[in-house]
Amino acid sequence: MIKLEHVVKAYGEQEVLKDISFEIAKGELVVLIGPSGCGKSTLLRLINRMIELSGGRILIKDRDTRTLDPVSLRLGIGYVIQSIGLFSHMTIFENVEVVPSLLQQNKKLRRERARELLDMMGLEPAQYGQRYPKELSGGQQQRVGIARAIAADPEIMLMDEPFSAVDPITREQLQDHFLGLKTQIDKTIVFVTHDVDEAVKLGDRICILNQGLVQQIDSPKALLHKPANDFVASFLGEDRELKRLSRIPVTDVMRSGAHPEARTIEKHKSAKDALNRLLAGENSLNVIDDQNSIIGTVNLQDLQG
Amino acid sequence: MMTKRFDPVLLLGAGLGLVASLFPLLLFKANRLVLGDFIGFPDLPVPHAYLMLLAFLALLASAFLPKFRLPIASSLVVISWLLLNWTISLTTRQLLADAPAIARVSFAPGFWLALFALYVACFALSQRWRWAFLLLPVAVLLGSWLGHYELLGPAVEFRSVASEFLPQTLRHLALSLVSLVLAALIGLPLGILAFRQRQFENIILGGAGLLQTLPSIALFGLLLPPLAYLGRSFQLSQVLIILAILILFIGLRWVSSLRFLGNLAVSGTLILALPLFGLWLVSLLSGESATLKSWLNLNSSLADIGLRGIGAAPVLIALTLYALLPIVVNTHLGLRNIPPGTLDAATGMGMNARQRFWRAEFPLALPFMMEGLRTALVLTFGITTVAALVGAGGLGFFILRGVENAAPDLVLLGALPIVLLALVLDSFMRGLSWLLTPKGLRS
Amino acid sequence: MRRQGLLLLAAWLGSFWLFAQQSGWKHALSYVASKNQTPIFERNTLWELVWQHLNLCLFSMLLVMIIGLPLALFVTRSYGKPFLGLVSNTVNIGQIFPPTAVLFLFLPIFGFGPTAAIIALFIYGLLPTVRGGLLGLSTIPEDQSNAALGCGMNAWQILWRLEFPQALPSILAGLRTSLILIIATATVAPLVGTGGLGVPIIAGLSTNNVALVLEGALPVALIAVLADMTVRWLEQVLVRWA
Repeated sequence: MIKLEHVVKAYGEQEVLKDISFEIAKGELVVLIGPSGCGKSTLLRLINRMIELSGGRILIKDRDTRTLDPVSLRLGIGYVIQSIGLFSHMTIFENVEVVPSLLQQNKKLRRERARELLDMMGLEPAQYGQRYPKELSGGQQQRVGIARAIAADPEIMLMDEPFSAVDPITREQLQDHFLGLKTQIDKTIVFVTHDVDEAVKLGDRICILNQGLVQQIDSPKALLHKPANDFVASFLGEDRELKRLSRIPVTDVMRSGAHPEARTIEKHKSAKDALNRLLAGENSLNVIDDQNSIIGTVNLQDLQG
Repeated sequence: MMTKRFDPVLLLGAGLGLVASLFPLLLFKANRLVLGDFIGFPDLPVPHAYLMLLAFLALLASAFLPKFRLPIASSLVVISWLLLNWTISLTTRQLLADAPAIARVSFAPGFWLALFALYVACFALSQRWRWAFLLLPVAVLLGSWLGHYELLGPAVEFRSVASEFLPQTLRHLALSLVSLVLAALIGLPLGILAFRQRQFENIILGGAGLLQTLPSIALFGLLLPPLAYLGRSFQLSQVLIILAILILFIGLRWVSSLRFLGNLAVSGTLILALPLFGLWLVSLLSGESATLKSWLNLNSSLADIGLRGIGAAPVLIALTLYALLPIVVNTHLGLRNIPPGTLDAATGMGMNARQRFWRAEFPLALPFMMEGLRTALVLTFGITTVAALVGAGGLGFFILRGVENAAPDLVLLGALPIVLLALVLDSFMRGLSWLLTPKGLRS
Repeated sequence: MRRQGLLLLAAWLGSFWLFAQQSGWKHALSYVASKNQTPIFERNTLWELVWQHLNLCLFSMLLVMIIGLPLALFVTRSYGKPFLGLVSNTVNIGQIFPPTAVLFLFLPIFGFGPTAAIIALFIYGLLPTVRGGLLGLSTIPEDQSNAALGCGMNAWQILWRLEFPQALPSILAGLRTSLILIIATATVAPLVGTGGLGVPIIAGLSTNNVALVLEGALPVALIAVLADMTVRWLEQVLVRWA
């Protein structure tokens, strides 16, 4: 879907990005992460030509972005930013309908779509639609921001630290909601964050950038298990095995069978949750499904694989 | 930094200069009654006028110079302005040589346009080099010397009213400064009150805003009847007795149940005493010995000490009312802008209300208050221009006389100093405000 | 807000009805006029004076809007940027110039008459409007302009859908200041040879006739206050999101 070939971005003498190449498949969510100043936001903004390339090229559906008109390019790409950037002079409905109205879609249809999207984002359309952004909390505003980005149903979404301006509890809610949403909307997403936990939680693949170069790009599990170099290892932190476990469902590590005296853990919990319970003193845990029937068991040895 | 291909602002300045030099630069009037003849490029002395044109063309071209643009353009700006003035002085002398003494030569639109072009060009250069803006006053001063402005209309008019010029200027300053003082005495406490007592906020801010929308001479007009009545009907002694009684009643403030009456007495005292104080100050500053003497005679009517429908009284009151808005609004804004944490910290340290005000609130709000005072001064100084209409004098006096005699040069003699002095007062207040701003807050 | 609008409309209509009552004014003002003075301006009816005044103000205001807003727009576009410093500096310095002094500064250039007055009123009125426009157009919140660009708006759409509505409060505030200044300064304009409500005021002041002064002062004060309130109301109606 998106292909980066030897991408270079320089400001004067200073090269922010030096020779970046990788590819993003359709429907994939790739997280760009790295220390501040590593060029992750710059890379994101190169994709929708908010800034222009210094070298290399970016292909979207095999077409060089430089041959496309930047405005129509952006119309086809959803864009969510950390500062949200809701238009303060427009109502919530008008905000969500911005791109459809730019595309001159039918008024009735786009209002219908806006209702649907607000509903999907967990905001009651009748209650919030006619309000102005200043009347919403930060978390609610970002929900509207996401609804606005997907309103015209773009194939690609660029998200620049969308959840970092809200408090930790709201962030968690937004992430969970977004994970649920992701399975429904089927979009190719490039997601920038500085939060390793968020990257591990959301990413299909994670691309770690430092000093303008890709340090490693791989699935969260692989990345956490086998960091390519010292930088990646220290960036992911000493607790990277724990983080890895947080991405593994407990069903992946359980053995078949059941332990007669063990307590139970629901099947959608992660291996990290299981570890937590086991370290708290349990010898083993029985994994149960939605019908409360035991489908397997897990103990500390199982987690060491 | 690479020099840009060309400087559009400099180009605009040079272009305006070129246009200006082709426009009539001077106006020749054989006497006051004729409409006068415009003296433009074809009438100017031959080699000089072409040199001037050439200088402006060179300036135009210098906007495209890839190298040494700044020094070359700077010199060309000064040179072209000086050539323009040289032509002016030659032309003036030629025109006046065999004209009657009553004939006048004055500036025509081309000259003013050229002055504006000079400003634009200097501004363009100052973008590259900060001090280039000094070229403007230097060029104007050199130009006025080389251009023999003393032969021109405004200078001739000045000589005919020279003895009145300084007194009227001082009068203008006195009226605006005294009303600024009065407005500050009323406005600063009102601003603090508006901040502290939310229930007064809208009344005070809205009232001050409403006053501001009234046209000044309409306000003079509205004040005329009541002031004329007061001046005719009351004697100084009566007013002093009322004032004394009011001051006695202020004591009620310390009786807790009658506190409101005490506060009312304070307001009454101020309402009565402040305008009188202002009137006295104005007559003192403009040296009106007759009026000052009346203050010593208890039998003199209020009209004798200057409280009349026309004259200083309506001007002082109107100016004070106009000056209130910027002072009140900025004081209020300054206090509101103090971070609440600062005040909490001050309270937490153990400051009482008075200490907190003088040590924390006041110094932090001071830059805003000064901004209010600056705006108010510029405003009152400007409005004083129409004070002459109600016989209060000031520089507007020359404007009015110029209008009555159909003498634009005399009008200019009033209007130009007002503009220049307003600019001087503005920079003075800015400087003062910078000095009074706590060091940590200076930008 | 609709009620406020209706009240304002009623106030305007009521005022104009009042201005048309020539004999009523004459009667009322005769109480303040001293003997053997005319209680009312005789060369023009009050109605005519009001229209002269409004004509002068609205015409200058129209010029202010036609020139001022595009100027502010021009210098905040990328191609006009080189002139931004010049315009904003000129506007800031110009605001220090007293409006009445400016009115007379143009007298030697354009001579006596309505043209000089209109040009002077226009040039001075230009300053607050341009200032308001510059302020509004140059302080668009960065996150919103980023979002607009990222949404895929072109320059024209960004102007109409983001910048103009965002700048509207400042623009309206500037227009209001311009309007009030022009109404006030136009009162002095008869000195440079125009008509309007300043005519009876100035005539009254020079002949010590209180009635004439009031005939001009009361209506002009009323018009100024109503104009101010009307634009403020417009600000409320048009900027409901702030």
